[in-house]
Amino acid sequence: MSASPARRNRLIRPYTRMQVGIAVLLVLLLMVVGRLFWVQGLDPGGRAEAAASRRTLVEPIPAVRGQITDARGDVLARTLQRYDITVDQTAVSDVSVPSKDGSTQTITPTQAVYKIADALGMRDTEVKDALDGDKTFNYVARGVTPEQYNKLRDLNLPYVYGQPTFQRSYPDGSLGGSVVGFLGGESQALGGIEQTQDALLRGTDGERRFEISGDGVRIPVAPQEQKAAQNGADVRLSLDSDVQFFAEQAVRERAKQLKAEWGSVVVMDVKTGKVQALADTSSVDPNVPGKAKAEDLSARSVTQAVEPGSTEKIATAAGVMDRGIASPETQITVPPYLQIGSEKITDAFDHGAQNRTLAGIIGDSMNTGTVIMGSKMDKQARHDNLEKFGVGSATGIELPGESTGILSPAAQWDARQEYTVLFGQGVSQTPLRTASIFQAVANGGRQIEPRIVESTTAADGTVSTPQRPEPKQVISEAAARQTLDVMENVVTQGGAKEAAVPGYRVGGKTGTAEAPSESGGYDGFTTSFVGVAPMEDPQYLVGVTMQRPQGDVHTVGVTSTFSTIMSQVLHHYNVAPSTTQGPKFDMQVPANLKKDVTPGNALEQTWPEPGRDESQG
Amino acid sequence: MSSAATSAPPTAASRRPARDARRPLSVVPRRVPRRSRVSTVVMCALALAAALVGILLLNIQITQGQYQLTDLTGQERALSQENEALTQDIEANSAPQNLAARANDLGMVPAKDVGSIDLRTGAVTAPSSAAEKSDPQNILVPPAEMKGSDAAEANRRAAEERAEKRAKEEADRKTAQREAAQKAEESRDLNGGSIPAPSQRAPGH
Repeated sequence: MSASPARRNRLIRPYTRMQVGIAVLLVLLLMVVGRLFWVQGLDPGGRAEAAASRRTLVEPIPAVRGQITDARGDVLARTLQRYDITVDQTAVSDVSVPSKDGSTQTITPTQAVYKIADALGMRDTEVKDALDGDKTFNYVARGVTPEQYNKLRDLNLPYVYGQPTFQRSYPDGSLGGSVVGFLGGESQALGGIEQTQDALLRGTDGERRFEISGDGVRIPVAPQEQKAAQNGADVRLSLDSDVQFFAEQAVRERAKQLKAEWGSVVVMDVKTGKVQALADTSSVDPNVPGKAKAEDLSARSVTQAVEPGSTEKIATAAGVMDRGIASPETQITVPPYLQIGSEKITDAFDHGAQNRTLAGIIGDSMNTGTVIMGSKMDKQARHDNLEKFGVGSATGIELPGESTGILSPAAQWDARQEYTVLFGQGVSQTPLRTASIFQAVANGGRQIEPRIVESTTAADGTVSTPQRPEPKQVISEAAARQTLDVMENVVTQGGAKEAAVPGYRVGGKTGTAEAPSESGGYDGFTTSFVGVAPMEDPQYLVGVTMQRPQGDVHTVGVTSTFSTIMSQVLHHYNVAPSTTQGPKFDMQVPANLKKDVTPGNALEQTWPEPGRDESQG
Repeated sequence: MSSAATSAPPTAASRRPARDARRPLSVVPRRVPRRSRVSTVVMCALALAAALVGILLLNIQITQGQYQLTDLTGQERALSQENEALTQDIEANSAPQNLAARANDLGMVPAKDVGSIDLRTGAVTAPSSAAEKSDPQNILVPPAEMKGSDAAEANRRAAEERAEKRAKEEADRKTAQREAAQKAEESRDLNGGSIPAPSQRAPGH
């Protein structure tokens, strides 16, 4: 017994003392390593991920919406830093908060209500209502200024939070509000340039991932990722807020006098088709779009199609002269009225048979004379003439809801309409389209569709100019010049002497049309005046439209309003006063009156074709 | 022998002292390495401590930097917010309708005509007439209802005051007119009755 255990002891002893210990340690080590490998290498429970996600804070970096500025860079829409204040209602209770000197004080919910109301400038009851309840998330106030938020943060209330957000601010308010547009409650673009240029203005949100320690301070050595936000581009308009103001002030004064339903003004650069003002008698203040009436949300010059009335006679005269049918001095005998089959066409004033020049017919805005010369174009030509000027199609201006107006095909015209379209009835178009017809005439017959976006500046500073529409030769340059002379005659000798601007040669055309009633038929009028200046080289166009002015049809014109605005525009853009005189045409030549012209046969009268030389001059 | 014998002891005797005498000549023992080992440990400990302190300082520095960064970011935010608020005030004040209203308050009126100088000929064209003093223009474009700007608020209040003043003046004028008409009515001699006598052309007039 003694020998073999001793030997066994001797044999076993080294294992029991050292190697067994080492083996046990090794096994333990192996277990630890195995566990380590299990946790760190295989990580079946996703612990590392869970831990990282607990430490990691993903903070969105919202893209800042671009600015909208006017032609001179004055801001029309800007994005401001604001905070939405939220509360965890379940956590509202007595809390002890540290004050600046290190001591703590207990604040009861009632005290908190007063303090929050003071900080945010709200009513106590509003704050109390926001704090009462058992929701874990409720808004106390939205869009508070950084100043208010800082005051609130100094209160150190643990259950009130501030979320950074942006607010759109429109310093000019309702001035040009319908052009600039506005955003809805969730920052969706709902009107004007905000809507049409949304993709450019909005930009792309970025995000920042970083790890934070328990006290909320970022762990400096931990990895962080940042995807920068792509801020929105700035959009510069051709709109000039000063011109916009003159135009709005003038048209509002006139609309107030006439108790009109609405009025609008278009101011345009003749050479480029750039729109400098789109004024309305009332328009939305984009800061508070909810307060606006539905009809104030868009620019009426773009969305409202009206019968243009006599301003369309300029398109007829231009078409007639472009086709070599007549010249400004062509003499036409005009009977007191026209009888075409069962249709009777009269003028706005009573007159006997008169021998008028074309300039005289347009100067006094005679429907009869316009029909006599216009009917020398066949039905299809009358349609094509208007279509070529863009009537019946949208201009494509960068504003939502543009109306195309209505120009029905010539084949669908009834017996009366085929003549009335010559003086702007039985056809409808937006005031902007009317302006664009005059732009074509004033620009040597080259129509450039109106645009209001001047350029865009991306966040990295690159400026891009949108593709300008191609000029389209609508009528010959010679016909355009003749039409301009006729327009000038309207102001110098015709029925729109009040449209004159001291120091400048001005030309234009009045318009009066009946306004279609919503219940069928017509009620009230649409009066308008579109004119250009200076006539020797037209640069600016002003078109004023007034819907349903109250009063006598002869006193509800807008020529004086045109004069006020045009005078401001010419002074504003430092246009040199005119030094030349316009041509003076005879309005009437009574000596050449054709006695055989009657209301029934007036359309059949002929006159000598204007000479080539005359039309060139 | 004796010499040997005599020489022997002295030899031994002389050998010993000679040996003793040589002892100092032996190689100088090297410095004790034990001291050096201690210093290495101390050095190591110091280096370690220094490294630790260094790392600690570096960490403190980084953390401090982080706090400073947070602080400066906050400061930057505060300043840019202040800048934003001031810009908003400027824009509110420079909105065309607010400028026009203030110009009106100062008694300014729109110019009727402007003069001009022809740069080629040097000819001066004077305005056709001077501006005339007139009633303040009624600015019909309302100021913006912009939130969070004191200037916008002030402009709005000013516009309301102007509108109230205008309405009051209008009412006063109407009252004055009515009173004048009434006075004219009363001043007529009704000869004690209430119906005015039919007017007659007096002879001699």
